[in-house]
Amino acid sequence: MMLPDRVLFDFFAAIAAASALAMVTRRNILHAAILLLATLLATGGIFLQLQAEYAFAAQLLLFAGGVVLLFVLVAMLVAPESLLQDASFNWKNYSISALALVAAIEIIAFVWARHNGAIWPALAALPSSNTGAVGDALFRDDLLAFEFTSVPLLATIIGVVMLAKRRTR
Amino acid sequence: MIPVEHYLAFGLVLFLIGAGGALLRRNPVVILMSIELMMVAVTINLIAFSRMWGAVNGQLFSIFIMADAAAQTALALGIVVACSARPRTADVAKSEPAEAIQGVSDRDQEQPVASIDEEADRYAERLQP
Amino acid sequence: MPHALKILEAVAIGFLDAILIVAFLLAGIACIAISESRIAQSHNPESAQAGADLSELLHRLALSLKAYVRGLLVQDAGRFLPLLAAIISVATGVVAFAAFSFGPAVHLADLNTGLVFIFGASFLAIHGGVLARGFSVKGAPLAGLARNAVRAASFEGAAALALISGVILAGSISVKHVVEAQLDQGAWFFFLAPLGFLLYLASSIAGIDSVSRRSIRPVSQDGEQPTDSHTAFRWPFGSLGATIHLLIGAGLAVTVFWGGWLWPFASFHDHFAGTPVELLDAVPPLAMIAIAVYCRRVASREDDAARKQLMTIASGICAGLFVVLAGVLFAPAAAIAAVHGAFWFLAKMAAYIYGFLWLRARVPQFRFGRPIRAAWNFLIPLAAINLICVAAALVVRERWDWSPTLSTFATTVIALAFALWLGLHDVSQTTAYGVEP
Repeated sequence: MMLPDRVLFDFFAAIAAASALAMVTRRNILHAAILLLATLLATGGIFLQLQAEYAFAAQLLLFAGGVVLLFVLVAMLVAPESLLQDASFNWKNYSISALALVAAIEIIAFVWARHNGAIWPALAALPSSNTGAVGDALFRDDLLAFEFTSVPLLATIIGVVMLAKRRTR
Repeated sequence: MIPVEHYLAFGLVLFLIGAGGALLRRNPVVILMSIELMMVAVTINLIAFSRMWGAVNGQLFSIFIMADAAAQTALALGIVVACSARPRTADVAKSEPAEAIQGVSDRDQEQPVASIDEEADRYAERLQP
Repeated sequence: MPHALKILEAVAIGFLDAILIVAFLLAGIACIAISESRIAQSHNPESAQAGADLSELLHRLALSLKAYVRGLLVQDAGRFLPLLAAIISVATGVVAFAAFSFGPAVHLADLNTGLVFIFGASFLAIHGGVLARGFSVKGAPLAGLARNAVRAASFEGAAALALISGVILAGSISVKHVVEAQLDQGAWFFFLAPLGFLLYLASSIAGIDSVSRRSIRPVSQDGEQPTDSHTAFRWPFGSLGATIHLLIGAGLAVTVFWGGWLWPFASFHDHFAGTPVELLDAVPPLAMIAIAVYCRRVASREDDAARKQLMTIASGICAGLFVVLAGVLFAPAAAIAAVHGAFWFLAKMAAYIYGFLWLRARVPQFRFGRPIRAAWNFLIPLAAINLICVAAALVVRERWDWSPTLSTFATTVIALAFALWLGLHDVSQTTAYGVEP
């Protein structure tokens, strides 16, 4: 027994959007971290709906597991008092107007595109289990790209070790 | 079957929320979270397009994005911890990150930052009357 | 409105599944708590003055709740986050067990990426523990939290590497395919990658953090500990996360290394048709009736009323299960496989958990620095080498037709030699730097 696709999509999208909005407006960082977790999990549901099972698992393990845990720990470690009670919004940042402009253009483009009929092809059918295909692509077709992701990872390791060394020397 | 536009619209909404948060908030940790949100929005688009063409390459690159985002967040949070160890503000508008990072090593030689073990011991002492 | 009805039906089925798993989890947690205190008692009789039975568990729960409510009134941790911690712990357990496979066709969700998903869910359970402890006392456990999370992450890394040695043997990360691969290859992966399982066990034992380990010990009656809200908090929330983590870990180990729902000699079932091996089908009901009789006898000898009742209930449940397990023997083969598969899966899980607790009570508790160093200097490199060795055995088996026994033995010896070198190297380095005796 499956729920209709549309219901699932609306459900997950509503949760994700609502918790994302709450995330950027909450003053308490810990609440924000938990709301980020909710956003990520709801987005994972949408990945699952798009049959991207491997991306869903990676999202769960890397983002929801690793990154949010880091956020929670840092929020607890870094001077909680000052972090919890700072002024939360910086309204004088005028780059926001550029963002608003971009957003307006995008939304107008969206409405215009929909008004002029669908410009996107419909979703194609993927094989119901495409994890093997992902593995093939990862280690055969796009191996170079896969190897290149190790460069930023190495840079991160070096950077973090340098930061840690500086503190304890 | 849901048309691709719905996924794109959802991605747009998340991206705008993330961008707004990154530009408007002062708190470095929340700014990082917002950047995270923007990356997730991009990931949604990639995966929707990948499904649209019936190929898995979009999924692949979404995984690369996740790996890089996780690494970058770890580094950025490390910098946040390093910055806020001494200056008692975490407001990016007030503190100068570059100076703070450079200054940490000099100040630490005068007065070493307590290691995590010492901190734990102090807390334990405070707990037990 | 057929549409609305459809939605309602799907939601109702989802809720039913969730309730089923929660009941299963609660039963598992109660069993673990009781056997844990029994093991502690037999290991160190004078330390445990009160054996844990139902009334003691309830007592401790009540103390924790009292401290929790008082904490809410005194501290401004907020009501939301501590509650959320408990919800996260239970919810991750629910979603992880939805992905496990309890029999040939007995699973709630057959995910393609089942193992990674379960691993991710068990990693999420850490959130529950961190939040629960982070808010039990304001400000206090920051350093402890950091170290616990670091510790958990290190050992999760080692455990993941050890698990992958089973995954590459199966060539799939789907729970269903991993179990079926063990059926096809005629050997549980423990026998093809023994070191992988041992490393997994070692990293799970060492990875259990010090806080939750202490929390399960019986609370002393003179009220020195329960007054400390920090201690009392751990039971319902922090330890809930740890216990569910333990259940998920056991499920993973059984699925990957011990054949999941396969019964012993399942691959050779047709081979031995008509021989006494077929009697293996009678083992589950016989085991159940034996447990029922044992519980009945214990109940008749017990003085304490509460315990007597508990044991009587247990024996009744076992007798009921006996009827189910024996009755299904006369059903079609598919039904036998489903019901007995679930029995074997749960029996193996129980055996693993018992062994785990038994070992944990005997392995001394290390200081913080030592297990972390053990993880990074010993377990993770060894798990990586073991992975390479298992892959090499696989290649040798396919290319040159070595027998599984020979290839497994050879590669395990190589990995063990590496372990020996690593251990000696680690010891010499430790003394050279003079870090710790």
